[in-house]
Amino acid sequence: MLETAASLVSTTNPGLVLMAAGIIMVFMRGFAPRAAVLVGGPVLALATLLSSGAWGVDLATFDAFGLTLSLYRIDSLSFIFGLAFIIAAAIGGIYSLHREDGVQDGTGMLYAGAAIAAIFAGDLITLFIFWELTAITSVVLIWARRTPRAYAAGLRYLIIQMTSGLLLIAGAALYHNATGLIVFSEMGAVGELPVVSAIDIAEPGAWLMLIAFGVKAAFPLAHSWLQDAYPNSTETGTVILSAFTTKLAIYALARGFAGLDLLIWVGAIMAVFPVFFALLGNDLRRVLSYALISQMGIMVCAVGVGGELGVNGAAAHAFASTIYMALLFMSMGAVMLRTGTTKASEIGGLHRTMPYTTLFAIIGGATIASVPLTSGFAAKSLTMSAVGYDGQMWVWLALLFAAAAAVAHTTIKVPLSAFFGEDRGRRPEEAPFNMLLAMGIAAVFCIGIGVTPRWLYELLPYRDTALDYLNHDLWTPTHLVTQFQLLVFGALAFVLLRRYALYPETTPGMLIDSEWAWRRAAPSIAGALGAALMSFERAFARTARQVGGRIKEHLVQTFAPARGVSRRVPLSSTAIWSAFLLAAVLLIALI
Amino acid sequence: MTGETPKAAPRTPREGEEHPLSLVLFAPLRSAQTPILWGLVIAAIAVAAAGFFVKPGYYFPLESIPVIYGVVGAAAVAITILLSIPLARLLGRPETFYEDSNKTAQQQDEAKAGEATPDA
Repeated sequence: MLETAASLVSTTNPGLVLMAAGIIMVFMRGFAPRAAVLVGGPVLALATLLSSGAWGVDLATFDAFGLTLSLYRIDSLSFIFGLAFIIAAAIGGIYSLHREDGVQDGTGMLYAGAAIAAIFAGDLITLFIFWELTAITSVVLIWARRTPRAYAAGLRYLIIQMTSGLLLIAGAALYHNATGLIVFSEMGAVGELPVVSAIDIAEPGAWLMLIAFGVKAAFPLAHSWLQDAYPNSTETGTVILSAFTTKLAIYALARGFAGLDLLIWVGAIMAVFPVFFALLGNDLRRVLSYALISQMGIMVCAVGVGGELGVNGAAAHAFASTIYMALLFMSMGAVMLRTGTTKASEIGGLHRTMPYTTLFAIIGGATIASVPLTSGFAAKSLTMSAVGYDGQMWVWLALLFAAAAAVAHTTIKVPLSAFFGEDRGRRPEEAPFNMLLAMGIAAVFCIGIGVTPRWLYELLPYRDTALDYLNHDLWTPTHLVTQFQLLVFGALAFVLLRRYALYPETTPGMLIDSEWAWRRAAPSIAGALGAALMSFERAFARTARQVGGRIKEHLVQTFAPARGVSRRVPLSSTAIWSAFLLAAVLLIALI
Repeated sequence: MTGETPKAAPRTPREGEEHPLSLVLFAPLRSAQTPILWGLVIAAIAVAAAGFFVKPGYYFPLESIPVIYGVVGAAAVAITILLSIPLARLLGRPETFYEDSNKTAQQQDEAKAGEATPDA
């Protein structure tokens, strides 16, 4: 009996455990039962993950569509992403405890469960199923805000996420047709890398899958869903949203496309362009959304560099940023709960009554800037070194630029705008205890990983390479001094420019981004085309009516009694015409 | 329960409302803009000087330039801030930019519908 139970646990995808908890959560009422499920669900999922069976083999399979699909397959790459997601689910659960909303809590856990299940999917069909499930469940977190703007943003989000899923399944089908492969663990040429292997980019299906992953990873020009949807969610919804969708895409890219050179440049662009939007943003949750895109860019770059150090960098950064971005979003969520807004133009001076939240925001800000002794430093250094060893100087400079700019747009701006800066007279209460607890746990992770990064490095896909880096590169005086130079000079430039009034004051309003193309330009073009078509249709109908009228009139004239065809013709002339026609036919036949 | 979070109306701050932790941690910072600036200047000098006592980075020859990381850091922040000023003018729009455009289109449709059925 015990053996059967142990066997069942070791072959159960941890995501399914969390999804089951999510379904139960919908019906839970009261603080204690909700707390038990919100925290107990991730704990059970963690226990399931830790008691998993052998790595690198399909632990649970089923037959469908004439294929054998793998519901659960685990290796060192999926393990670290799964672990990060379970920790994020637990933190998100604690953070949500103050607000009794079964639908939001339940869909939040279903979303986290679907993302974890997707991480451990062993084939593309299973990945697609959970990929789409993440889209369907996560949109509820946006709609939970229950404002017209949230409904519209949610709808746009859903369309884009579903499109990503369609591209994925289309790509998978094409890829399967061409190569006969459907597994998501040993795709294409299995090279020297034991964990990840590249999808053969020469296949057309591979490109569709790359675009599908890119849409979810917020590639440039496909990114607008992120800063559109996340700030429109509830204060708890944004925290949960920030953890899963984009990191799932990073996992998929690392699994399928590690070492693809194109991704290096895509990542560099992604890292740099959002910093301007982040600096100018008024809504601080939108600022953090852009900061998240910039962080994603660094991860995409690491995936593009590939190799052991690159994949380690992407995995470590994904793990760390899942937690520190959640911490930053949680601090802004607390501000939103207490003041009703996160617009920089409407808040300020909140440190007076929300000191714990202020402190946590500062810790999150320091971590995103990679201050030594934070998880950002331990994680991002791997990527910077991978790019450096790869000899990509311009990309390396771009990533340095993005890292330094983060000092301005997040590390200083977010705490300054919300908690310091101009005092607008708001004296809200400190965040509820559960929120502070969740932020505290995230902050402990941020500093804990920074101070003792060994345990994280031991979990990375290429453990030996990671530990070698830890022992020889991470804590060198050169690395520490150069990192402090980057940060201190960046902060000094910010303070000087602000002192001499060269720093643009945050004003109410928004910045148009690539979404302008499909929210403003496309409808205008479609409207203009529609109007042109309508004019053409009207002109065509008018002409057709006129021509038809004339034909009708002519026919009436021709067939009317005593007119044309109806006129009586003498029999003799008919005979002559018939003979003439017969002669003509004979003549043609003879010739 | 999950509707729009009600906005707390701003009110005049009163004495004694501050959290004790805030007074300990952050009160000294409120009037310390100049000390913060000088602190950063001193820190910048210190880390720049420290750069001369450590081996330069080894990824690119560029790293042998003294204080190159500091230059990149300061330039990155300065470029981001200075470029954002014209960018704000170019891309800045009112908060309801998209909602307004939708409303206008709807109003236009209604106007056209009114023209099409003048008896209505």
